[in-house]
Amino acid sequence: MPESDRQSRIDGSGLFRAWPPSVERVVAARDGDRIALGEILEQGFPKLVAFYRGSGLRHADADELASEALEGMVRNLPKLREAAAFEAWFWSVARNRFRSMLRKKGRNERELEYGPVADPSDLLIETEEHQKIREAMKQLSVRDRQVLWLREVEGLTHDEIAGRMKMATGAVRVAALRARRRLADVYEGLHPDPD
Amino acid sequence: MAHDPIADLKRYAAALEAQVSRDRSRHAARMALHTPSPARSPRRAVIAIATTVLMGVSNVALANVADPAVPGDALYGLDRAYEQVGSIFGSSDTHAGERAIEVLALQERGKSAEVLAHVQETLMDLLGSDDPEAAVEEFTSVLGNSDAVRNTVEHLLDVAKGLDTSSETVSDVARSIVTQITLPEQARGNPGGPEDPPGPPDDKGPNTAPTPPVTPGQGNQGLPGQKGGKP
Repeated sequence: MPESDRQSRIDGSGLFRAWPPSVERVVAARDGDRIALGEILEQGFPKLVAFYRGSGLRHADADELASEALEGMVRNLPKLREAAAFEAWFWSVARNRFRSMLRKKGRNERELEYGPVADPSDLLIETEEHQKIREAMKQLSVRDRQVLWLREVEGLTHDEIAGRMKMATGAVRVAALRARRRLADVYEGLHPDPD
Repeated sequence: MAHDPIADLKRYAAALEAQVSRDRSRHAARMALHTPSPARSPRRAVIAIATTVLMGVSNVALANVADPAVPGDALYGLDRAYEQVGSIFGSSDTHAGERAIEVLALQERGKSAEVLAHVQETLMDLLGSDDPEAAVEEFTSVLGNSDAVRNTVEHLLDVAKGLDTSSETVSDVARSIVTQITLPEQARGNPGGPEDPPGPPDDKGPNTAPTPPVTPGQGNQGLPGQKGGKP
């Protein structure tokens, strides 16, 4: 992704702060710098929790799965050859953990019917806007939620998503387009045009 | 005012991220940096799975080579495996199922030494993947298993439990076990099978450190019951 685009994401949403980490920081972490690795993990953790929440998990489950994903990253980061590909690798590990969790529960993504729902472990003070997003996201398949999230929230390219999710680039484009349209359709229903 | 769902989604994501306190993130990072406790660690599971697989392969595959269970139908096992894999490939990141098919194909052709070499190489790859436990599990599901195999796993688990894993990653430990067990000499000199299970390390006890990788032609140096391993 061009640096200018990344910067605009940082400025526009306020989401990214020190994310993604610089190549130098990733190399240091990969090569054994525990401080660098700790910082990257600390910055990545809330992103993982949010991603899992957006995928449909309750807060407590998302928190636990994000913790497990961090452990997997610590184990596997030394094998990351291209430090510049860290962000795509990061989301690949995140997605693999998610799928592994489903496998252990004997479910597949299509059977994961629940949407991002509020629960007692959820500390988010939900606005009306949040509720509508949740309702809209519920209407998407888990895979489309994740494609949409990685594309629109995390700003990964279609190619990056395709490589990480083992999908063809064209399929990612279609999934992203379908998810956007579906989201917009549901939103339209939730926000009827006064005219 | 027009509503932009993507903009709202980004704000929702920001809110979800902000919900995670810095202290919680720091704690999670610290936990991940430290060696996971046995209760939470997948280490034992990975070791057990890896051990099960390598025993399953070295015994079941070789037993099948020696045992004419499917006479006159060389593709029977392959066909069956394809059926099994059909439902698995959809979720495969590591092509573990495909690799298992290759193993079975070699097996069907009676290339037992190549079977073990291929299994060893595959396990190395799978144990180095992002999710080694799931990858090995997938590999196992295609290759199948047997009660006889399970009976021999206990010996190997004793080895695994005795390893000093404090300074090694799970995959490294599992790799060390793979290199200890999967020996081409097993295929050439001892078809093995359930009736001749390998025992525990002969003279090294449960605290034996991982032996260095064994390359083809070196012979078995650690496990009695295998060709070259008996005193």
